[in-house]
Amino acid sequence: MRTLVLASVRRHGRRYVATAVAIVIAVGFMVAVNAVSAAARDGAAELAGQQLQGVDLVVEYPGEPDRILAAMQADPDVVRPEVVKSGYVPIGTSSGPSSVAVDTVDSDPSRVWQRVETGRLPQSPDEVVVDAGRLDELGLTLGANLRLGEGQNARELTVVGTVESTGGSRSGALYVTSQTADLLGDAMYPSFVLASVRDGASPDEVANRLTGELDGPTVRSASALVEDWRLSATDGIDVFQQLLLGFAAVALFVGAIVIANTFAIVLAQRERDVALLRCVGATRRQIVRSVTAEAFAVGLVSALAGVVAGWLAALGLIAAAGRWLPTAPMADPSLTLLAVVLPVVVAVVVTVAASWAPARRVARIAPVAALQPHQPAVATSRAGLVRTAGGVLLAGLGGLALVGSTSGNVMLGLVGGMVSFVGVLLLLPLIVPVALRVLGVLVARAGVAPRLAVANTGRNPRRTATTTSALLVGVTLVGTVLVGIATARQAVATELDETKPVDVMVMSDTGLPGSTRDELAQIDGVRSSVALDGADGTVGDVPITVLGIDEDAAETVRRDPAVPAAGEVWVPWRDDLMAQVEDGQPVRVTVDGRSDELTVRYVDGIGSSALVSAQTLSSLTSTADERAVWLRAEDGANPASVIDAVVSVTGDGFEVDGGLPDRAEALKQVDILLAIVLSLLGVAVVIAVVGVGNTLGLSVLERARENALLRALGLPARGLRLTLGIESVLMAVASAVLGGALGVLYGWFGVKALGAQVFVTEPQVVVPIGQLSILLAAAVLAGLLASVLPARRAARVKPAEGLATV
Amino acid sequence: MTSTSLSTAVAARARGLVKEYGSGATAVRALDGVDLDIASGLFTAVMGPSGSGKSTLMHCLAGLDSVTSGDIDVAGTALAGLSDDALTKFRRDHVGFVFQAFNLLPMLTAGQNIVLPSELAGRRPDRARLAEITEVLGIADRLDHLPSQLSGGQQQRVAIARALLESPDVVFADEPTGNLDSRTSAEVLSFLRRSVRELGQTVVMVTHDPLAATYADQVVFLADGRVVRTLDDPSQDDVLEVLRGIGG
Repeated sequence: MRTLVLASVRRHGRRYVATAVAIVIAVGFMVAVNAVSAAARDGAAELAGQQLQGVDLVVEYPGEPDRILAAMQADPDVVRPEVVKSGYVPIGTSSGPSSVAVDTVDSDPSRVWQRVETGRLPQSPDEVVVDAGRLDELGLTLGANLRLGEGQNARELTVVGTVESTGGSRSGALYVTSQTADLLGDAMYPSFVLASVRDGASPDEVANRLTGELDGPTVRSASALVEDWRLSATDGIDVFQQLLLGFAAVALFVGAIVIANTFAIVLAQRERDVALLRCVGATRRQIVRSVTAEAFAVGLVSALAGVVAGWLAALGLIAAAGRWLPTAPMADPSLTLLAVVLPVVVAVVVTVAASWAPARRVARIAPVAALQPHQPAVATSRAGLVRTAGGVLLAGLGGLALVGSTSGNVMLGLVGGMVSFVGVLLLLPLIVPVALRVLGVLVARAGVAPRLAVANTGRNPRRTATTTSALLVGVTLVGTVLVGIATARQAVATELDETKPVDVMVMSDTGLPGSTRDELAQIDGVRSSVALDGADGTVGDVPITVLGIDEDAAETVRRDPAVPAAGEVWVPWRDDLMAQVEDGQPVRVTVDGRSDELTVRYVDGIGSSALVSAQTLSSLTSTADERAVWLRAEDGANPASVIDAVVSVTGDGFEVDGGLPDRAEALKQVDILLAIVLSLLGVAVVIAVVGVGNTLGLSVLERARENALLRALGLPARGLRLTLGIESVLMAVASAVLGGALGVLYGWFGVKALGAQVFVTEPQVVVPIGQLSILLAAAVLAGLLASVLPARRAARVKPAEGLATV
Repeated sequence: MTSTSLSTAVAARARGLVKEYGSGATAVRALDGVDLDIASGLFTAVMGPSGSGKSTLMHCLAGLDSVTSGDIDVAGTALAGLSDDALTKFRRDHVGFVFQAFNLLPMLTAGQNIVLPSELAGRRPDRARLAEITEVLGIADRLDHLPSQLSGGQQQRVAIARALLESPDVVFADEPTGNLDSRTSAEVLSFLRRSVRELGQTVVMVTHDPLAATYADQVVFLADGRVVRTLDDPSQDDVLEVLRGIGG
């Protein structure tokens, strides 16, 4: 039996290329995920240690830093106690976010954990270093000046260096000296009290003693906190690893379909060999055993190749992460025995299991079949009754569960989705031929090649359906994700419309020259602009610029075209205002000596001024002048270049604010999420496309005779290639159309089930027609690509050679 | 049976035809200098023992395979050196085929199989001729059937209808009765002969069956890649005698 298995693998090895590719990709995926996760875990542990280097005692988020400091100074075992601050501070740069994370460079040199890349660390209160990875985003260079902080605490700082980009608990975009941190005022808050212990003292003992003395704040040993940080980082990585392995599982599932299909086709082609074996005395059990042994061999060899591929991919990914994701700490990759063995075992088991049913089917062949002339089977396999009934049942039950889940039961929705999808997969041998017939009617008129292609897709419905289903799994998930993320994107955009309704606001305390507005309106990427009249005034006791706006102006520039009602004043969430008056309370608004009692509304996104209706303003003063220009950017405009242009028009002395950078950033995050999820699903789609190519390739071998006949009868080589290309495209398009439709359906149910839990308001389901069209186009392209190799092989055969093979 | 002579117009001509498979030490010379004229409007049978090169000869004459050296002229077209596309065009314009098995595309109906060459050539099939031929061949009521629903004899008749529909210059038949019982064989051979007599077709048939060869007007005998003998209006005894002589 072993001779037979080895001979089979040798002889039919090439037919297992697709199986091997599927296994290599799936195993490689899992191994790479494991290796990269290990690297990330080690990197997080290293970083945690690095960020508390030279420290023995820590108090996190100290409420009473001075008391803690005093207690530490009084303790003879404690040396060099220090309060370090961090904060999220408004920054006055021309581009990038409006506030950044600022942290401190410790004054004790042994505790300085930042690693200088260029320049040097800050030494005086007007110096700052920048995280190397954030330099471009913030529009900074070595030697550049920036304004950090707000009001009287604002500081002009010079960039004197860059430091290695990191993540972790003590990372920031900017690092300043502790003096600067103090000068920035309330924006910076004490994040840690750090101290060391005298040589010979035990940090744990000292920590316990101090905690007891302080009666409130907890003093911990640095090593305990490092362990905490390491754990919380690795917990996050573990969750991420499991998520990624979920995608790997999808890839493996698709791989299993491809593998099962490969074995079904390969064994169908070997029916005569098997019958001959039965003639010379092989039992059915021996046939099944030899096929599964063959599957085992193919699975094991491919899985081991997958381990190597995964390891190489991990090395590449870590190198790429070091280059493009510097804040993700990465050590060298490593693999535990389990991280290697488990994917290999799973892959081998899946391969053997996938070969099981085809092996049983081929073993049922009667020995006498070997003696009969071979007739290619046409349209003999139909979906069985049990399969159909099961499919209908599961699809129905799952569908009911999905409908039930719209009340907000996510778990029910998840189960319903999976169950109904299994039902759909079972029904595919019924659905796919119908879909292909419909598609066939559309293309069959186009000539002989399309007609032959349509006829070929119909000749073996089970095989076509299986090939299609592998692709369908990936496409359905892609469709679901597209709908889900398009909906989320819309929800984010809607929320931003409310919280950041104005893209760019240019304000002046003294009035804007008339030309400024015109120049601002000319900027590339600006869609519309309005100038707002305003005047100096007070709300309560607080001096503030009061701007007036009418509905037309709001309609023109605001993304949420609401305006203050008559009798209302909108004000920003400013501490000095909030100390005086609550939302909804009446307040005295005075402009030009005239005053009115108005109702206060605290709102987001109006800058630092107060806003009233244009009528209210004109009833208060007749000397209002242009104080602000509001701009609305075109969708897709580059925020950095728009803001740069605005600043270069206005120069200094104007306040430039607005939601454009944050809006662009938030939507970019959503797009990045989409790109990541799609590329992860892409692995499964690639396997499925390999599967399509595989089915075609194996069919070409099977059809050598009839392809030769077609060539003899006058079909040019080009025509034969075209026939196979169309056949492939038909299968791909059927998957894309069915999968896209299912994806939209699942996406819709998903959004409904998640509903209010994830989104602030009940979201409007968005069906991204554009993206779905791209999906369809991609399917056509993938179909064509999958057919290239089989078509070349088929067309290369001379008619006479093809006719000679039986 | 009327007597014919070789002075009739020539449908296909081969001169110094050599076909080698493989190269170097493993090269096999399937045709070793064949000179042959196939008369137009006649039924020619090519016979010879296994490995004599008769199938290779037919493949080369029909433009299914390239030759190593020598000249072939079929219906006024010189085949030597033609590109694959030119050969394809030559085949669909000038020749028809009937093979031993796998004659029909399994996913197309009988009717679709018959009109396939016309469609491949981008021509509208001649419906009147289709009706006439399928009527003569007795398959007019089988046109909607898939090949798997037809008997072996019916399948061969569909293949003959396909070969005759476009009135090609030459019809090549490769062991057309190889898979058939004797009664069905006789039927198929009669159809081929009728197509020559009544429709003026030229038919070249490769066969190893001496009885089949007696339906032909002329028999060409091949041995070891060469033409060794030709017979006009052969009887079965004549054929058997020649075959015994050349070790068939």
